Amino acid sequence: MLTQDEAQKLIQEVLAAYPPEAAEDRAKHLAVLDGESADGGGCGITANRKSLPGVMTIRGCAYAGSKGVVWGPIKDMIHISHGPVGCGQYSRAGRRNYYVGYTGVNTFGTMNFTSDFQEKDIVFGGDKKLAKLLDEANTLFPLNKGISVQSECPVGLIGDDIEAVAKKKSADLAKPVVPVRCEGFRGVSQSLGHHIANDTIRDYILDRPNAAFTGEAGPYDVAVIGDYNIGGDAWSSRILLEEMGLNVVAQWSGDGTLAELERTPKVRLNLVHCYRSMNYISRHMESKYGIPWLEYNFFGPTKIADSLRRIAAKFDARIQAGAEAVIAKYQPMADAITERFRPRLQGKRVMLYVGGLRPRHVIGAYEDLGMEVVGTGYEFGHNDDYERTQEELKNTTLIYDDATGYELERFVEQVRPDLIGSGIKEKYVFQKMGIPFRQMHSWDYSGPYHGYDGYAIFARDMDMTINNPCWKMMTPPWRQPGAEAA
Amino acid sequence: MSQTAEKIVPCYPLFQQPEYRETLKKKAAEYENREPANVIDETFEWTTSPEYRALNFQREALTVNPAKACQPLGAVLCSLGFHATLPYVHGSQGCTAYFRTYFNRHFKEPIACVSDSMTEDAAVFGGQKNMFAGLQNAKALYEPEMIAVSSTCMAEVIGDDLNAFITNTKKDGRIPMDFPTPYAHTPSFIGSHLTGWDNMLEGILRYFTLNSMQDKEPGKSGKINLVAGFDGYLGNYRVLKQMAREMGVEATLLSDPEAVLDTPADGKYRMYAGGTTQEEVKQAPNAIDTLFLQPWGIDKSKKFVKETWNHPTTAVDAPYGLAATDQFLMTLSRLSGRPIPASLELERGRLVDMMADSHAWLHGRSFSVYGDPDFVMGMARFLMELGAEPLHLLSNNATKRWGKAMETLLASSPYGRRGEVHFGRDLWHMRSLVFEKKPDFLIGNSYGKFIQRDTLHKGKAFEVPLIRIGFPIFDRHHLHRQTTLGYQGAMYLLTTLVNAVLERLDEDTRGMAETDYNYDLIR
Amino acid sequence: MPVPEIMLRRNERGDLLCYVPKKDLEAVVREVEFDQEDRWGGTLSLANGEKLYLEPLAAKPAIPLTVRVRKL
Repeated sequence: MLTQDEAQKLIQEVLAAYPPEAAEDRAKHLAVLDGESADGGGCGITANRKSLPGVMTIRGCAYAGSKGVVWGPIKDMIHISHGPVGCGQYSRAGRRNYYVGYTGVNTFGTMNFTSDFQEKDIVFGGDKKLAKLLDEANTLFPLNKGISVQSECPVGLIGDDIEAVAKKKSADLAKPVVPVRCEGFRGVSQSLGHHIANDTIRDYILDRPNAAFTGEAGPYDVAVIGDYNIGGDAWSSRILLEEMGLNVVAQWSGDGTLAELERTPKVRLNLVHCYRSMNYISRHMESKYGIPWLEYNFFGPTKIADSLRRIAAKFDARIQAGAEAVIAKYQPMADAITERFRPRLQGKRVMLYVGGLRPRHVIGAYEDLGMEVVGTGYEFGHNDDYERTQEELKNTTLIYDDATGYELERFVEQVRPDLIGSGIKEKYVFQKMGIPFRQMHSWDYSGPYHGYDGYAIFARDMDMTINNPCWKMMTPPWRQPGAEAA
Repeated sequence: MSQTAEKIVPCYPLFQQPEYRETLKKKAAEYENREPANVIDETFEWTTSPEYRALNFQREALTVNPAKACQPLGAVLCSLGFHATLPYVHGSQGCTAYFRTYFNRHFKEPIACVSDSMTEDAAVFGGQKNMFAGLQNAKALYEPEMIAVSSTCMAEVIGDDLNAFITNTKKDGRIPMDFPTPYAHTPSFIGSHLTGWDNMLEGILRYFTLNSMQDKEPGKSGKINLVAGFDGYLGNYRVLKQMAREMGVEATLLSDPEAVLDTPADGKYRMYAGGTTQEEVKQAPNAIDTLFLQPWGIDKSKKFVKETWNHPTTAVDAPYGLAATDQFLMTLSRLSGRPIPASLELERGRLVDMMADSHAWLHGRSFSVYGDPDFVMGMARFLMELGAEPLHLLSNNATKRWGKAMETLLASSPYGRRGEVHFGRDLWHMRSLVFEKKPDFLIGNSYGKFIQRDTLHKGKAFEVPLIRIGFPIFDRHHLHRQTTLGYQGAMYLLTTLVNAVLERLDEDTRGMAETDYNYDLIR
Repeated sequence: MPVPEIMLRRNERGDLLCYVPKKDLEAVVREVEFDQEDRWGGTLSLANGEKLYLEPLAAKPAIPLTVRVRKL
């Protein structure tokens, strides 16, 4: 366990490697917190600022936030990667946003639609090509419910008017055609892409004339907001909500559909899991339709039970009894899981470096297993994320915002955690260093991790990785201390 | 409740349990506004029809499921092949995140690569400030011996001048004047990842040799330069070096990333390992010749080597299969004056022996192939050598000229009679093609799995199984370590193909008292 | 700086929160200068140190609320 002083010293050592200007900037993004006092002001971390050039940031771009995160999972719409071929290819089917459907017929989630810009499109503009390809897409995929145009960098630089094209085509095709200005150079990370995507859902879906859901709004209708159904997370969440008596009428956006988006302004409560990527639309619905929203956390039995009760408190006694029944039903299973794995994981130290909600949301699940988080940070968080994180921290914790490859490597070398939870770009670096690693974006091709069923998988996965024999095989016997020379 | 402490199941089969099927059924029925099942079925059937194929091939603007990537991806792989070199991509940072991820998933290795994170203000004022800080920070933190700079489409559209920016960075004292910083403009709206690989190689060769040609003379070193091009198989870099070694030819691989993409797990992370050294590049003009082993994707480097180094750049085909490897070795022998050694002749004999052993299972089987142009051409040639029939040969990033050369190749063998060549087409076209005329197998990268799923949905009789050969391969482990070039590579390809045929036959004949009379122990 | 629009809402603990959409900034409102039934607003002191001025309203408003403020 690092003390405050040791952690501060470590930060200073890391900063020493940077040129002075860069060191000054990075210093504002690194901190040590002990969880003592949440101050409501973002706990002194500077966040959501430009990444320094050349430092190997882990961050992506606005396109990744819009196409990759928010829009991409809406399964019955076609999402065009508008621009050169690469962006759509690199982001194709990579995030494990599970859905059910006939891909290429009535759903399109794992496909890659692109305008594959050539030099002539840059020189003469891509609007004509866009208009044409929207017709082609609608002809070949007639069951699509709408089309979004996800702008790549060049679109915003060559003066294309995709809004005009979208407006015309939306009228021609009698479907939403949504122009999204998520060019990769906008903003400082994925985060602005989330915001832009939220705003376009607001403007082109919720505000679309004649689009509103005309059915009756039920007293128990809720929407799950900011769950991308990675490995089926939203499914192992909705099952609990429905069991307690609520109707989950919409999933935003994992396994989501246009109809679900359109129905959401009529729900009683928006349940927000990933605050970072979908607080915008939640605030909008609160302001325009008077729908309250509630942040919840479905990682680990402690947070799940707490969340179920907080959600139920917004409804009547029937739902509150339902929540208690759900907790009573699942808690014994969760206890059995904890009992099985806790002895194998007790006291293990975890470092996290992820995006969205996870740097804080998974802390409780680790604690359920007797583990402690000794370092955490956000790829693209804002101050409000750090504010919310501080409330979750119990011990001295290293905090790193938009950490660089260099910083992570040095921190890990010094802290030597028992587990790292981060992304694919970090995975192999740390595995080679002999540190157990789990991808906490894709659940390392496992999941779901949400809900009680997810907790079982989470516990199993952490155990299988931390306690795998391979970590002890890194040093050949003849290099072990005290071994005879080979 | 599906989990117990004793038995924990992930996504599949978890979501097959009744309570999940129920909630998903309800979701589809009540909230999704899903079409009736018959409409979905009819629409699916229509997408497999000849009318749909005709419509699909009328597409002019829309690309669906491409089989290519963009230039800077190639530039990054090329850069990784040089000793202690940090790839640096000038432009938006998201691109670099994508390149790293793409390679991470294929190679299951860390990929060191930096971006200079240009944002909106750089779009207005140009990215010179980003280059200043970027080169300075990257060098200070990661201590490379060379930084290889390529560019994203953002930087290209606004017209950033890499040479000027890098020079100004040095003049400003951010990095030393003599610090090696080759560069290449790699606009992603021209060509593909192959083009970017080519441009980056040319940039590196130019940087280290253009102004030091006075004392250079082709043949002086007696070496031969080999250029593998964009290749996702580590074994291919190794087998090229091995073949040269066995011939006693001193070969320099111009870009050789096999070590940095295959570092050990021993408690230490190595950002740099192996690779072509700067000294090797500087001496490369003294080689007898430079052989480009993916000739269809490599114009600029070849031109530079021809014109500046005065190398003949003797034409060779990508050494896939028997004849192309024969030709490659004979070329190497003729250029170097070294005979082809007994060891390679033995290896060749073993390959032919394997071909004889397996020919009966491959004869007449049809294979559709997609991928980079040299890969598709090489596979087509090898398939015909095996007595198999290439059916659809599709390359998204190939030219009309390649198409003509493919037609000529197919015409050269009776096994090529049924072959159809498609260039500039994507995998949604391929889907239509295999519904129209079913091959026995599809050969290509992981993206082909969706075609297998779609054809299976029409019915078992229509299923086209995918054989994973190509780049990227995300959904199988460690295939990237294999070899597809040379006699050794041909052995791997042959083994893979024939066992795919046998696996499939076993699958079809496993039915007890139905088909299992043919479920033979010995094949 | 033009007059920014902000959204006021309460979190589960009952704290008053101020959200500035243009800056993607959410912060707790530590103090409201006039917090009476017939006069509400004035200087809003945010936890991050910033101060905003809301022309005082004639009655305590219903929250959530979207209003225009001045930066102080």
